[in-house]
Amino acid sequence: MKMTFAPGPNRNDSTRSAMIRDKPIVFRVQSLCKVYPLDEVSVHALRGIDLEIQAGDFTVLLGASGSGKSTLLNMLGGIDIPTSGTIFYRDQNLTHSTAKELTMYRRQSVGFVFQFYNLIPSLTAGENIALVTDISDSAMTPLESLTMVDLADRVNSFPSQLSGGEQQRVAIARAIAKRPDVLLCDEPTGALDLGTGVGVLEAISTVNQSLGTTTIVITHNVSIGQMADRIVTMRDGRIVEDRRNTQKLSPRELQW
Amino acid sequence: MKATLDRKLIRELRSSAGTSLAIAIVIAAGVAVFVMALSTLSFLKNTRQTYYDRYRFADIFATAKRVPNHISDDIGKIPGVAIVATRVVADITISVPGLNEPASGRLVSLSLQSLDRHSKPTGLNSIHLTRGRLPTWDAADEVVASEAFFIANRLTLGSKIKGLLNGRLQEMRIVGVALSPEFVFQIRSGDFLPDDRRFGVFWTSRQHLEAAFDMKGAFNDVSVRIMRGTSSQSVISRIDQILEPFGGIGAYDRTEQISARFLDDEIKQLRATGLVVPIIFLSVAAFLLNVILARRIELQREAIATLKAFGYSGTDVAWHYLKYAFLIAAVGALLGCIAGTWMARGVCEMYSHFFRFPSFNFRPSPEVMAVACLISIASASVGGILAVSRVMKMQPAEAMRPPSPSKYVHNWVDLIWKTLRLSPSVVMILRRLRRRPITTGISMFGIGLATAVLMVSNFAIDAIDTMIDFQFTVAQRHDIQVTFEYPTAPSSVNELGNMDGVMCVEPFRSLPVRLTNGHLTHRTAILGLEQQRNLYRLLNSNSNPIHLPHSGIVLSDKLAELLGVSVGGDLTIEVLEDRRQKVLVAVTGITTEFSGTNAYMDRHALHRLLQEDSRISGAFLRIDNLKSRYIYDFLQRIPRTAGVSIKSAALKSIRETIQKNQLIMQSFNSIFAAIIALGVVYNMARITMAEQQRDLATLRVIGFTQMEVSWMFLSELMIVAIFAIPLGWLVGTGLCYATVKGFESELYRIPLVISRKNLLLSAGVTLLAAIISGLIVRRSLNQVNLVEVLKSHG
Repeated sequence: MKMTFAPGPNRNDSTRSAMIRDKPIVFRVQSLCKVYPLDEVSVHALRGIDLEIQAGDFTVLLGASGSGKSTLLNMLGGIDIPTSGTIFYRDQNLTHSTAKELTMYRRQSVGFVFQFYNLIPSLTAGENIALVTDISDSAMTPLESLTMVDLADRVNSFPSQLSGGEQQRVAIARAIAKRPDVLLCDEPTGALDLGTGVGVLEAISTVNQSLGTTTIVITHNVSIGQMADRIVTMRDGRIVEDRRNTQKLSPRELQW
Repeated sequence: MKATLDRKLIRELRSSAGTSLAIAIVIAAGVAVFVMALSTLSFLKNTRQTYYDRYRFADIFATAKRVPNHISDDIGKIPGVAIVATRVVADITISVPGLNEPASGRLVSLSLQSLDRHSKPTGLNSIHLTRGRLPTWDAADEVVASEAFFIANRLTLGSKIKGLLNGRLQEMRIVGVALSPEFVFQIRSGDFLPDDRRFGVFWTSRQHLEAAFDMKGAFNDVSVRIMRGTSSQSVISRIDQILEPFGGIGAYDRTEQISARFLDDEIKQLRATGLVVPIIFLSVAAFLLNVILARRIELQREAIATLKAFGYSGTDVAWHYLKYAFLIAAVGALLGCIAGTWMARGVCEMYSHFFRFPSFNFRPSPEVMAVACLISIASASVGGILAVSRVMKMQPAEAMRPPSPSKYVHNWVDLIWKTLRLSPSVVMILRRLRRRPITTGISMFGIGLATAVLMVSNFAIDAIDTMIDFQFTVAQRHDIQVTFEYPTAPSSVNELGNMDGVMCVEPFRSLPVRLTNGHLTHRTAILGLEQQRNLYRLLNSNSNPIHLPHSGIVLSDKLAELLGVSVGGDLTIEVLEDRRQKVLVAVTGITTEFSGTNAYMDRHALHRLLQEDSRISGAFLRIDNLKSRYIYDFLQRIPRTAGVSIKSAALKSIRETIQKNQLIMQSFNSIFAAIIALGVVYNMARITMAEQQRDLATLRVIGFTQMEVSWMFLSELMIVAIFAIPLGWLVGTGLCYATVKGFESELYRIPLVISRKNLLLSAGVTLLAAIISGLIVRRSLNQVNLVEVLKSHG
């Protein structure tokens, strides 16, 4: 299997080779570019990204605003398309998939967690999850997934009756209820304070460890990288650092 | 500093052009009806006033059998009387070239002075010559024809028609064409709608009419102009006293003059239309503006906070958003004024077929337009200020924070949803609708209004069809009605019955009377009918025949209402001819009728009550249609007939008139229904889309297909539309009832008929409008940038 990584100062080929032998590749990204043409100038959001993500990995994508991390995550999630390059999800070429195929991909394989939770305000926590489990084949029950994020007692609460952290944990429960292959989190703690953010990260970590879900979290908070298996840092649409984290911390140990 | 805000406003207006235009069009519809009705009204009133004044339309009218000329001096001496004009007037049967059936004519005398073109006109009810010339004083065969009749029969100057004058067939040559304030609306007494082909007015020299009708030194018709401030009622009483010995049949004022009354009724209806319809449209527009502005403010709370943080005052920002409402109102008002003026021209064009004025060129009314613009701005203010008041209160720091999720709570409704095991997507829709009962309710009302307007537009056709069928098929089953000049012996019927092709003849006695119950009084005619009848039936409201009692009087429902009397009550009959008896009679029945205010009695009971010999005023005939031509020829030659009315011809003419006018009204109504339907439903769809966009985008991201999300969006719209339809039917029935009441007059009424076809059609078109609007708006769902929607909060 060909290994392609973006160049980075902390590359450790022997460790990586060993790991790749153990775990299958979930995402393979090759020469990925995204250009947003504006009236007079073009914005290059991604400039030739090469990346492979293994199954079960907890990856943190770090970078400042405008570094291209959200664009990359959106493309991995099948809600945006590249200008050039390819993205493979296992054997499926996402760049050649139709809108319908991308919908099916999102429905079956991807769990999304957004910065602003995006819960449907008219549905209770349980119903927000049922919205997803209704269209999935091997989903857990809303209660099971809420138990995983330690919110079983709020199954009948409406979003307006929950705190920000609780809303984000419901959003995680909604994302994982269908047992997705990958969990994509876009600044999941961006709108939360420290204490609440830790609770949310614990929920994500639990999902990653107990379900083995490949998890990608994007953040500009460097500390969060310490709880990941792998930290990919981006700047100006390029990967500038890609390293494995040998000493993982639990979310409670994080400091920011 | 405001210029930058204005630039923002213009850009946003451009980006929401569809929504803004849809609201502007709803405002335009209201303004258009307002401008149409009120400018037509003002134009009609001014034209009428000028016409009445310039051609000295009389205030009081009276007819008698034969009054010596010197009696006019007595009338002139009545306090308050300014001008007295006497005439000889006669109703005759005429035969018109190109018309198989006999027609009716009214001959009106012109005085020597009015025929002298050099003398200053002094008489009353002057005529306006539109072509040709006036008859010469001593030319017996020259007449001036009424313009409506002349045009309808495609006659030319020099055309000849034959008239039966006092039993003698005479040729009348048309030398001129004229209009008269007395016949702005040219209709034969007792008719339901004008029939210009079969009824004409002819003016000729008085000398000729005096000779033909044995009226030398006498008159049988008098018109009076009274001085300003004089009570017409006191003058009428005095005229009645003076004319009583000469067979006067009761004077009446302009309110009872048939042409003037039709014109009054039309003006009344225009006023109602000009107020009610715009209120509906402008309320809907105010609601839409309110919802859209509220939504815009919610979406722009961060921008508002930033502006306030920079030092813009609450008023500055509020005014910025209010300008949006005002701009839309201004565009709506402008479009409305243009459309209203165009519609007013259409209505005036339609009126010009009914109402004959010397000049009827519509001029737009700037005053009405100015008022319309003010009203539309006012409605926009109501909608806008309610939404914008929140901007004033918003604190910058609070507005910077993302809004908390919309509040929902559990209640008993959840139990129903749980019991029915509805899917979360259905629950989501239902909870959203239930959470905003006022918005949902008003949206339903708005869409229902579209159904209602459609219902009213279809209702008119059903109602008129029913009325015609009731009146001319079920109740009146004769083919021809012959009216004699004077009551005659019943044996005259034999002459009619003996005609080849006449299958059935039934005589009637018609008696002009004044009916009084306490202080309520009404002039009408009692129709004395045979006990055994087939051709003229009295019906109840279910179209079932009612029995004509052997004694007492049967009143039409409208007449009973006017006189405030019901079965079992008593009325005083004052006969307005011959001996002018006054007798008390019991009301023994009420019959349903859609035209006129008629009273009926058993003919023999009527004779007994009046202590008169058996006499008849005319007869109803049913004929073999194959022999109609022969019968028509015969009828045109029977002496002493005052009128022959052919039902099929009248019906044909009514249908033609209605069709022509209905086409105009129908197209106006359809346009309005479409505007309301598309305006409201489209805006509803846009608002729903704006509110739901983020939720729907979330659903798309978490794996719902475009089709599934579209269905969720359209379902909400459809649920509102489906619930709106019964509401629309209810409102529509109310509007139809209001139309029935609005049109109700002594001359005619329309029944409240709501057919199943009407209900289905109005519902179908509304649903179609909802689906089309939904599909148009749904397209924007396909174009939603999922990434951007998810990045935003709120």
